[in-house]
Amino acid sequence: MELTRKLRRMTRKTEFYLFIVLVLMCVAIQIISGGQLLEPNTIVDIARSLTIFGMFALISLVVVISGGFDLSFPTLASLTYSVSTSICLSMGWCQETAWMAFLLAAVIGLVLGMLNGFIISRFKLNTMIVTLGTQTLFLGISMGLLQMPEITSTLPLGLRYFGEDSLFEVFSSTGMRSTMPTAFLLFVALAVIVWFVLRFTMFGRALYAIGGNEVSAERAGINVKRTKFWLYAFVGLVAGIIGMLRVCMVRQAIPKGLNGWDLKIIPAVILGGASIYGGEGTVFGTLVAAILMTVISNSLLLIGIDSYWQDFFNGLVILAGVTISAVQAKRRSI
Amino acid sequence: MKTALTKKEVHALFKTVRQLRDRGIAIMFISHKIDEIFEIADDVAIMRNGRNVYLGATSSLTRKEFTYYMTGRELTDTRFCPENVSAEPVLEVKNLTLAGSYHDISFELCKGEILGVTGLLGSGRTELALSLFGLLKPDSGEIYLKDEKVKISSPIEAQKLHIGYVPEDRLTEGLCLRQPIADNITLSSLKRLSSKLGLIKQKDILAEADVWVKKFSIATDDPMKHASTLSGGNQQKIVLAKWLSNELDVLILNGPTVGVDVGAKQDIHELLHELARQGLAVIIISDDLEEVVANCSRVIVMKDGAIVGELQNEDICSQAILNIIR
Repeated sequence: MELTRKLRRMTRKTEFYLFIVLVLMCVAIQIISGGQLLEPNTIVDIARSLTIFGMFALISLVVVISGGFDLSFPTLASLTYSVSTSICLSMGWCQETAWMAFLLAAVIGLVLGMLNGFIISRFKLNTMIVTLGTQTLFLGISMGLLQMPEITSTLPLGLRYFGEDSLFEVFSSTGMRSTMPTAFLLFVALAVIVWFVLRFTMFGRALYAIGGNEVSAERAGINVKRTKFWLYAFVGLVAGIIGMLRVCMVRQAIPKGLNGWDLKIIPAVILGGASIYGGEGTVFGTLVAAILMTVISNSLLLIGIDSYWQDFFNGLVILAGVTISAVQAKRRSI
Repeated sequence: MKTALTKKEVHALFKTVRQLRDRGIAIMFISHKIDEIFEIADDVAIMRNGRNVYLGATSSLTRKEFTYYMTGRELTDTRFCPENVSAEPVLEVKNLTLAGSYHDISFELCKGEILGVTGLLGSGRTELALSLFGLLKPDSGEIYLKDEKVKISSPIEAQKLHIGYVPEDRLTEGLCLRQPIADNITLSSLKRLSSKLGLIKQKDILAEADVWVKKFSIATDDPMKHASTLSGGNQQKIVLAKWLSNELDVLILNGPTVGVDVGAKQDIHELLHELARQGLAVIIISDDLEEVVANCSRVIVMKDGAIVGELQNEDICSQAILNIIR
């Protein structure tokens, strides 16, 4: 009885079907590519590409659950890492360790996030419009006001070391070497934290309620304003840290380096079963969707398809995902 | 479809429906409102639990039979008799005024009472309720709870003072439809359900939800299903459960049975009687006069933002209320 109930609950969820799709797709790619997908170095490469993508997806998930959209996180992150890296450069910091750059990024990200949070909660504005505005604002500050330079070969050594730090290395049957970045642990940690906050805390419950129906949530005694303010503040803080992490991993800080990521990340979150209307979404679903998208873009080459087909396939997967969630939502409401 | 319409609009709708019928168009009218069915339908098919239980001319049915077919039980509207009314008022409102909405409102409410507030749309009844729940700030006047002067500035504040509010429109103001029934029931009591470290366990939420699903016989096989899967009456029971799972002194209900079928309506009324007997102070805001008459031990009639009359116990009847409104 309890088991069938649990099974029935599971089959009502989009992510359950998405997971099946992911497994089937992996099997198909494995066969077509002649066993290349499950080579240890392919898996490690996918884990590497997943790290930053997955972390941004996790913070976007939290915003989508609250019924909002944050389009500003890419430029917020790039403004943050540009400024942090420049400060470190000019002060001569981060020659051996990277923590000072991360501390700076966390503080700057938090401040920028608070700006989002303040505007959204104080004036009760549409989150998409506000963050579209701050997205451009942050880019303007970075490019126009501060004229941030591209930092490549002069990147502080501490950041470089941290980006190259690896947990282990693997070889493929043909002898190709791949390393598992230490940063992957941060991705795992963030996933656990977000899962924990959403499931076990007042704050998480409040986010679901606000996304479900803001008026009802307010009348049920939830402090909507405060919750929203801190949501965007925290998202800013974490986005700053993720941006810094990316600088370390790609060994350069390009002011426009993350432009357009919002349009890559948010659809993945929706694909993972989060509702565009808010109030629904799980860490598991988002992770499955992020893995799915990463596997697709990483394995097109494996099965001999030109990489410029990537966008085509991404678009196809997103359409499929949105259709599934719409059908699911309809079925659930009956 | 007609739940949100006023009497006048319903009247106009019926006129159009009759005109269409006279032009030879067959019309299927789906409703759970007895009055409307008897007014408009020539034939009626009554469904219960997915089965057709009656098919025939409306004129050969009595109201009692109609209700029986719909609910599967004999419904008897029992009038509320207050017991254990406290000597001291729990809520006291003095000269409360909000320009443009209501003015100079004063009344007292004791534990164990069900107070009706009625009046036409625009009489200020809803605005008064919103002010008592911290959603509309009054310009002047005082509110006392248990002899203590209070300022109710927000729903959070109201909740701290043990005031609950069941809104007029449960879909947009009372529920998160696309979320589990269990989450809806426990939304206001998360603080109570959380552990010392402030953590909330799914197990506790489900246990609490199960209690209320059983207590109110909410028709669902799984409290993790979305609230949208329930009928209006059962949804309203969720909203009630949400408030009652907290300690409560005053419960304000705005149109508690709008869009609710006769069976669930009776359930909700009996529940309110029971709650009042247990010492809750209840305010029912409604323009459904039958509801006010059957459930209230005292009625305040509002018109143009002012209290224009008050009726007690046996004096309460539809005609008396209508006389005051006119």
